[in-house]
Amino acid sequence: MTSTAVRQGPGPEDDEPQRDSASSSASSPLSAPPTFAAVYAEYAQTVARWATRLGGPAADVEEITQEVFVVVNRRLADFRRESRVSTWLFGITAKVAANERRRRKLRTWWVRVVPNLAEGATASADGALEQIEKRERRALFYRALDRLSERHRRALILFELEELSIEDIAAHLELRPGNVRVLLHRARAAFLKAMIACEKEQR
Amino acid sequence: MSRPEGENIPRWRESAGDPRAASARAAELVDAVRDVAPLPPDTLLRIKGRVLVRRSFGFGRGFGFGRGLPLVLRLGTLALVVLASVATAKGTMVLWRRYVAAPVVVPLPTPVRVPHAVKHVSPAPVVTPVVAPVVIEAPPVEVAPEPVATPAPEKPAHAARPHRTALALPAGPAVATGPQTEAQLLSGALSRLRQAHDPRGALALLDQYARTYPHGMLQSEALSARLEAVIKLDDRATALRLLDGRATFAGRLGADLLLTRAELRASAGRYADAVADFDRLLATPAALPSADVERALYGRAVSLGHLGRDDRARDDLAAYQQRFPAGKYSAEVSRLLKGTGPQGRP
Repeated sequence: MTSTAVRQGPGPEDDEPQRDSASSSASSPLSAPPTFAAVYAEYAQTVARWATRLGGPAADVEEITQEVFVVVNRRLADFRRESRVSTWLFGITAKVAANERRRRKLRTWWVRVVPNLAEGATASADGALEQIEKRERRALFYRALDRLSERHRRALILFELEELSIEDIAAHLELRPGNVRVLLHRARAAFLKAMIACEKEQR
Repeated sequence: MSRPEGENIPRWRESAGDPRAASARAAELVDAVRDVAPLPPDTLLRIKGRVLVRRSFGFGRGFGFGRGLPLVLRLGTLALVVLASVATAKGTMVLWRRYVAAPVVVPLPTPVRVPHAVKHVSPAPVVTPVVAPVVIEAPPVEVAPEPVATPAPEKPAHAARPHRTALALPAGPAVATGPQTEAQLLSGALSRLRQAHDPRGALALLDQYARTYPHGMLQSEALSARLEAVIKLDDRATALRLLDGRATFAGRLGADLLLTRAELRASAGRYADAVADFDRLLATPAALPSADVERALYGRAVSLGHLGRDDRARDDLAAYQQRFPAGKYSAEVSRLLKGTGPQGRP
């Protein structure tokens, strides 16, 4: 773990936004709507992290984050506060990241993909061999992840990387916990199958 | 985001098992991607600034073209684009058919040489009203040679269409009943004319062609075939009528038709018109086949003789003799030149 890298997960800094002024509006619909500045201050890093994980190593995190907050800025007044702000933001981020991935796939044959800023920052703190191994594992992880459906991808990232609980994942994906368990079971099985296939191809 | 007590799915990185198992390898992969560097504060500020600027200037309304426009405007724009595309496609098709696809080579059947339909149209010798009585025959009329392999980029002979109606013959058994393409119809007519030696059947097919394709792309070829059929029927007056209204004679086919018209005019006694046609042909002799030059030179000499322009006639005869010493009309030309009178007239 490097000094710059954020050890993300269900830590206190990730739990806090759900209880702050911006997200508390979900539980009190009659309260004043959150301002853009408040949402941005609380969720900008979270959205960037989601963008990194959903988009993969080649994702343009800055671009995705910007697009997400453009949408947020435009639709914040219409936000119904029937769900958490984080749920709403995750939905937007997932869609923007998926669009970005699609566009990237189209243009990779003629445009050199800009490497992820976060990836570079993390890698620079490791040793050379460790860097290579990590890069290979990252590449393998996302190659396998790319073979999954969008629903499986989101569920797996929320569970294995974000380390959210079943209930939180259910809230983010707007599903029931039982459905999330089924979804996760299938997503994990599909990932392992894709990983083994990628490993065989690598050899 | 607390973890409930009842959660029973262990995460890969928390499950202890065989390190060679797939889940253990997956846990390694998860470990490799878990660390994410946060965005630097200046990057966050930059993003925020760009978001607010896009919002305030109104061009951050969406991710694609037209997202900010009302639905009606978007649909209207789409409809306009579709209409423009259709119009452009239609226009392109019209232009293509008019300027590019027009010179189509007709897929003809086996190119069978047809003997010249009419030769020595005016067998009766005509005595020239000059001092030395020289007998001159009118130039023979020959049918435009087949096959029609050269594209004729000329416009359809509109003037010839009324005559086509006049020539209409009752459709005999030769007329095909099924739907046929333009080229197929014309090809059938030529086949009937040149292989079955049935000019009437060919004319019937050509009438069907004219009815089916009044503005067809093979009008010149059809006219040529009709002319050939009419001449085979020895109907020179109709043949001349077909060609008389024609103004443009472009390309190889046009030259053939012009030569035929010149010879028909000469045979009909319209020598001045014939000379005009011969002059037009011989203005560019390099563009003509040798056989056509031979016919044109001889025809013009004869026509000039009839008009009393003996000097020019003799020049043409001399040119003929020099260029075609063993030509088709060489004996006749020699006879005419020997018969030169005291004033040097043929």
